[in-house]
This record gives sequence, C-alpha cells and structure tokens, in this order.
Amino acid sequence: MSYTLYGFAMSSCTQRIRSILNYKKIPYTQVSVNFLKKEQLTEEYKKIHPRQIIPALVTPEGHTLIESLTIAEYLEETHPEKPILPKNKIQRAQVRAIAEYINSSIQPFQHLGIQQYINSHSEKQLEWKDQWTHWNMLGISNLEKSISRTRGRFSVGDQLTLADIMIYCQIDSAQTRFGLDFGQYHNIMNIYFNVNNIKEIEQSRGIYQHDFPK
Amino acid sequence: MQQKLKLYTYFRSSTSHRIRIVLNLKEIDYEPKFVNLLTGEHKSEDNKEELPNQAVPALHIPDGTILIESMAIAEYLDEVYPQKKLLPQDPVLKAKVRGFCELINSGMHPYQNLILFEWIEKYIEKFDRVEFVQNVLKSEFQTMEKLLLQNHGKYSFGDEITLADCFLVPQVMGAIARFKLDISLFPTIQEVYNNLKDLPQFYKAQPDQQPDFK
Repeated sequence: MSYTLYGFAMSSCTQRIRSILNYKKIPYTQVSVNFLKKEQLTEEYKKIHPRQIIPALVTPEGHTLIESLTIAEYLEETHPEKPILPKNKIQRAQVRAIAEYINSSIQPFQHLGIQQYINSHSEKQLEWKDQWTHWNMLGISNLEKSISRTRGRFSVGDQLTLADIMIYCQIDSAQTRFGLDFGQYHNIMNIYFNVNNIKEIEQSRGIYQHDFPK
Repeated sequence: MQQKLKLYTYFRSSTSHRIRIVLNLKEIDYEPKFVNLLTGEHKSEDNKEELPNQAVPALHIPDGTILIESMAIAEYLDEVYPQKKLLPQDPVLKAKVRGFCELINSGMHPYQNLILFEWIEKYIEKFDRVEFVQNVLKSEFQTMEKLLLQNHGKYSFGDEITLADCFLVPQVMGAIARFKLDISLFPTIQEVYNNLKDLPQFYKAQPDQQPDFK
C-alpha cells in the first residue's frame, strides 16, 4: 500500500507534494482532480477534502492529510531520509518563513475568485494575468531581499529545503501559466536553477504529468 | 542577565495576536515593541532593519536573529520552549492541528489583509471591505465548523490547548469585531471560542488589553 495524492498537473500546491514524494523516493499513486473541469466540486471529492481544494494526501494507513505545508511537514517527520528541513532550529524557522510567505502572501492572492469579484463590481476589468503579475512580482521581490540574508547554495544555507521547493514551484507555475519573467531577481533565479538541476524535482513538474492539458 | 525576546506587534494585528497567546501560554517573558500599522510605522525607514518584511509580527531573538511569519514563529517557540507543548506528538494528530492553522493562515486571513484591500480599491471605487470578507469567508467558517465538530473537546482538538486554539481565537475575534461575523451560525466554533477567550493567557493577549490599544 502506498500514498495516494489527489491533485492536478496545473496546481503548484500539488507540485510541491509530488516534488517531496519523488525527492524522498516515497511510493505513491496520483488521482487527477482537474480543476479546469471543476472536478474538485464533486460530492466524491468533498468526502476527501472538506474545502474541496487540492492537494490531499491519503496515507497508506488511510489518514487523509490536507494543506500542502502540513503534508510536507508530515512527510518530513515520518520519512526523515533526504531531509527538507534543517536541524538548526533558527534555520528551520527561516525555511518555514519562506514557505509560509509564499503559501499565504503570494499564492492566495492569485485566486480566481478575487478576479471574479472585482470584475463583477467594477467597470474597470482585471485580467487574471495582471493579478498574477502584481502579486508574484511583489512577493518574489520581497523574497529576493530576504533570502539574500540567509542563502548559500540554496535559500537557507547550502542544502535543499522546503523553502527551495516552494520557490521552485511558484516560479515554475507563474512562468508556465502566464510567461512571467523573474530574470531581475538574481538570488531567486539562482535558487531556481539549482533546484532545477535536481532530477527528481525537475521531473515533478506539471508539464510532465499525464493530466497536463494539451 | 539574559536578554528577553522582543515581539514587534500591533494590537489589532490578528497574526501578532496569535503569537501573544503562544508566549502567554508558554509563560515566556518578552518585551513588546509596538508598531502602528495605521500610521505606516511598519513601512518607515526607522523600522527597516527591525521589520525585514515590513509586517508584524517579528520576533527578535537575543542573538540578533529576526524571525517572521506567525506560523514559523509559533513552531520555533514550540520547539525551543517545550513547556506547554502546543503541537501533539502523534504525526497524524499534529497534521490535523497544523492543517487547521493553515486553513486560517492561508485560507482565510490573506483575504482580510490590508494590502489586498488597498489593491482591490484601485479597481472598485466603492469597495465594501466587510461585504467582500463576509463573501469570501462564509464557506471557510463552515469548513472550520465541520473540522471542529469532528475533533473538538473543550478546545479545538480534545481537551488540551493546541496551536489551533491560538489561531482560532484571533480569527474569530477579528471577524466578529471587524466583519460582523454572526458566530451563533457556527455553534461548535462558538462553544470552543467561549471556552478559550476568557482564559487569562488568551484574555491578556486580546487587542483591547494591549498597551497600544486605541
């Protein structure tokens, strides 16, 4: 019995978990929940995830875990080989801060619901790409500054951590989806390319998944 | 004499509120440093070093390190100050508690963020913040109710206080005070909230008990 990952090729939150599972060589199967076809809104998926969002991870013992950062921490605790959190408690906090910042100050502001709300209340229409551009550029420029204080080869020190996986998935998602260009952020792009060289993580990208839209 | 921790906080900041509760529960002596978000003190040049992300909370450790992001700060405090543990030992239960915190941290709180409101106001002239937040958070409070129904005892998860409670109280208190949440619609949330809010560690952390309260 292995883990079951409910997610979708175009979901950067799913990519985070797929990356960790592949990096730690944890066996799993994937179930596609295509949010373009609103498959997360089925009654069936509601039984898996009360908020009907992706990803969700079901453990071999049958426990359902939600929230990508929570899932990441669980996998780190139960599969300590190929660690993604440093042992040093301050560095752990610095890794978590980067991960939390992306998870709560960039990713949520991309929500389609915000664009829909604005466009239903305003004559001035907002393109979803412009929404992504604003929040990604703002967020990544803040991260560029903060990782300049903590980085070595990776964003906190010289070992790959959850922070790097988060940065990688965020950049990959914004580049793939809307062609956003982060070239001016040298620290961030340096990290991106260092992570991209890790085969298991590069091969976890959405474009390689069977449910990536043609 | 060992230097105290310094917490940069604003009375009404929900994220600062969470950390004030954590510090009280663990009986950690700290020096509060008040930052007035309304007058933009968080963005001033004077605070550039102290608030690297121009936000509260920020925790200054005696060795000079500055920690940010409430979830990361809370995890650090729970690791370094193990008295009154706020995360369960069991990995599955720990994941449930963290998942609940993330529901609030990344699923709810971002949509009440001042920087989001200021951006939306560029598009919607007569932006009704209260209506927007009520709209967005209605289903999230329903999810919170569902999760508590499955897990609660006296508190969010059983009869011991966990980190989930440190996130729940500020979220609910803020929603009642600023966004007209009718908590009677969510009886389990109401019950747990009422069990928590008058405990001295929670009461002393609430906005109107802070020295910078206006």
